[in-house]
Amino acid sequence: MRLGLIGNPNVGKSLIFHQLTGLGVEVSNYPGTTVDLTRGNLCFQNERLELVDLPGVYSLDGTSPEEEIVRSFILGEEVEVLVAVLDATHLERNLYLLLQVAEYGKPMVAVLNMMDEAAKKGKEIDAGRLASMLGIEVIPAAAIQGKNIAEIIPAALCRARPPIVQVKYDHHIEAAIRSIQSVKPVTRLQALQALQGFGNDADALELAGALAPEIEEMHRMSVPQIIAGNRHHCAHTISREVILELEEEKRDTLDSVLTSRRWGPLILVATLLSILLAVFFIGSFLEEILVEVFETMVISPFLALPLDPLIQQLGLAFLLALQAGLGIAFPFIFIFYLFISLLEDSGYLTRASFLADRAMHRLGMHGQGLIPLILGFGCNVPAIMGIRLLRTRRERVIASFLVSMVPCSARTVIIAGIVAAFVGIAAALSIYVITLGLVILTGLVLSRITPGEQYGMILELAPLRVPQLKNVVMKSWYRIREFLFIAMPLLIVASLILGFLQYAGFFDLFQQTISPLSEAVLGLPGYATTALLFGILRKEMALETLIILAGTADLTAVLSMGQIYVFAVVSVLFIPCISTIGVLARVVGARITLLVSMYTLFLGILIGALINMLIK
Amino acid sequence: MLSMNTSIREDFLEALCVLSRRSPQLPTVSELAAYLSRGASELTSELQLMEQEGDIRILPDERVELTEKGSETGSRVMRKHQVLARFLSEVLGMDPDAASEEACILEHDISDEAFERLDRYIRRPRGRGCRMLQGRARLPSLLQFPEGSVLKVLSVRCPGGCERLADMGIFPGETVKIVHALNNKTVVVQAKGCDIALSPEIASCIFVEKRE
Repeated sequence: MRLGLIGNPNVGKSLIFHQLTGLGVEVSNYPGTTVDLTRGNLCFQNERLELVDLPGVYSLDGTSPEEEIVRSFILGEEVEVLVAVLDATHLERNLYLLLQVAEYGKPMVAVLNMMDEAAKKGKEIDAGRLASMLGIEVIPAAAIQGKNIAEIIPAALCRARPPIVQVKYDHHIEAAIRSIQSVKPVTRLQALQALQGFGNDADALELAGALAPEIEEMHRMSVPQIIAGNRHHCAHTISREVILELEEEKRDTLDSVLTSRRWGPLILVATLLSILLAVFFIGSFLEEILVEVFETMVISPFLALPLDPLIQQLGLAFLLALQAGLGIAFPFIFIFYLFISLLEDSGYLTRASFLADRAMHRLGMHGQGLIPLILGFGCNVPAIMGIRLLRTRRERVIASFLVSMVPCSARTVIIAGIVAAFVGIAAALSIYVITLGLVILTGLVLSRITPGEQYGMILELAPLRVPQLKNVVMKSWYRIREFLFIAMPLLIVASLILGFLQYAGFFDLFQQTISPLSEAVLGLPGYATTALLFGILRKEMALETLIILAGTADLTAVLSMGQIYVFAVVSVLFIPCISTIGVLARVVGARITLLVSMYTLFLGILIGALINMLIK
Repeated sequence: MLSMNTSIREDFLEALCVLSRRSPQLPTVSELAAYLSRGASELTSELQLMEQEGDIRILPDERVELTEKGSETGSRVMRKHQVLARFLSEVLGMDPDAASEEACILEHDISDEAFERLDRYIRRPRGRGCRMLQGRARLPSLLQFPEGSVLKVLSVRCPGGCERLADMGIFPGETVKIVHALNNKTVVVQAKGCDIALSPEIASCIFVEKRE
């Protein structure tokens, strides 16, 4: 038996899902973080149930990826019962979606979530009356306190039924539905979809294509607008019947300050800067401790063991990979994700998008493009995945360039690990300034030369809430898990190959060929260029390789400060790591991926050469 | 007996045109009477007159069929009504219902030349979706109002489709409030009790008027 959870973004679906299944899933306060289906299993009275958390949507008729996923899921036969989650504080807008879901005729129950918040806002909702108007069971609940959540599954199993509520459309629309049905035996739903220009019945679509312009002419509105208007009207009528408004809603003063013309941008810049600095300093502090502990507890004892040279080489490579992975995963990425989850759950992230809209327009995107850029500081891979939420190809192309250039935590490791340690803090921060300057410059140029049109931001601001510590930690853990289970194995395999190649003497050969070029252009010894090459596998591996190849962790003994600086700049800028390239190819296609890689390679070498010349 | 009043005749033919497009079956006399908000018995003499003039045929089962001549007149009046109503509401900013009533009066007297020119004026630029974009210059958009304004949406004309806006409760006839506006006119509007942030290019496609 399979159940689906459906609702608007940010109504507490994921939280309910988590409470029902006990699985560590993401609970997001940013519309559209869950694009894929999340599935979980649970047992009820010895029956195994599968619960599917659908991405939050505003409508079932749109063309965005989330809406298409949800629509095809509901149309498919596999789901038996739908649990509609409604936000009691915004009942009318939530009913709009429920009325659409009702048209699909699946057995349903509704969960009226956030009853506690509605009560605080002075709204009293008559759940019994709502249930009789909709024709399905309505469970008043408060997911944050876990109230009535236990009643959802029994109700869905025993008392779910198809809703009786039906939207009465404008008489022109109803007439058009009837005339489509008189020609072709399609359902009311299919006729309605055909009128909006989608569906898979060619005849109905053709007929609808002839009827729609006439209706649009008479109403001076598009058919989807008329239909939306009718649904909103129906939702309004129902909500007026069931809501007893006790007091006028007040605006949050904190919200007014956060989004105000004067203070908003200042607070945004201060917040982002302090997060980056905090991650940088706390991360490098923790990394040092972790690496130190690892060194004395694991690596030194291992090296003391009497082993065959090949096994020792491979074993060392494996341990170094483990050390690099754990040294980065926890200190940098986890702390970064903690902060981001905090921003997300508090509802600030959507406000940040709003405030950044103007600046992002200059870079050829709009406010929603800020989120992937910020996520890029943690790891480029999920950030590139986030690009899918941008609506036009032009924006996705620009974003793919910019996100690939954002210094992720692996690059932060290089900056903190060699520049901050051997050259100085100011030099380390200057690399950030150079990189971000180049990101902005690239954006300014791309916004002028990238073809295609721009579509602006339409983004619901999530309500401001005090984030729940448990949810924040859980969400950060969920994100870091992806890193641990996807990136770590790759890192270990790559490290083993590296160890083997070194044992086989491959590096000496490569170094001899690359040395003259490397020294002439970048002023770096050949082995440093080899290390850069390995940075393509994972960025921080450039650092690990450099240390292995240089034969010492004290780089100042073999490289000048200028050389260290150039090495760091080039490895931060040039070619995104292999996982990023893989995701890029999936999201924007091979051509753009190649362009991004070539561009960053060229940029890295160019800037490296320039700095090398300046230093000389 | 004198021939009947032109505007009444035109109203009848227009009504019959609208009704016969609405359903595949021919309209009945009582449907026509309901559409014109009159009693069915009052229409008898007028319908007979029109039958004599060759505008309509009354079939035995009380259904009314338009002749070619009648259908031509009727659809011309219907077109005039639509064009006038659109002009009044979209260019002059009248309430759509009031515009329709006004169009009912003007449609009988407007000359064919004036109608053709008005039709051409309102159709430019061509193409579905952007055919009413010229209203942009005349109707004020969301961008023209300060923070705190309570506004009624008159029309929404997004180049990339406005379904998402309609889903969020921003569609013609609905009331929205501007909660915040930044210097570059990125705005937050409140619709259906939710705050929605819009880029300037989106806000400039939402045409509104002040609600008292």
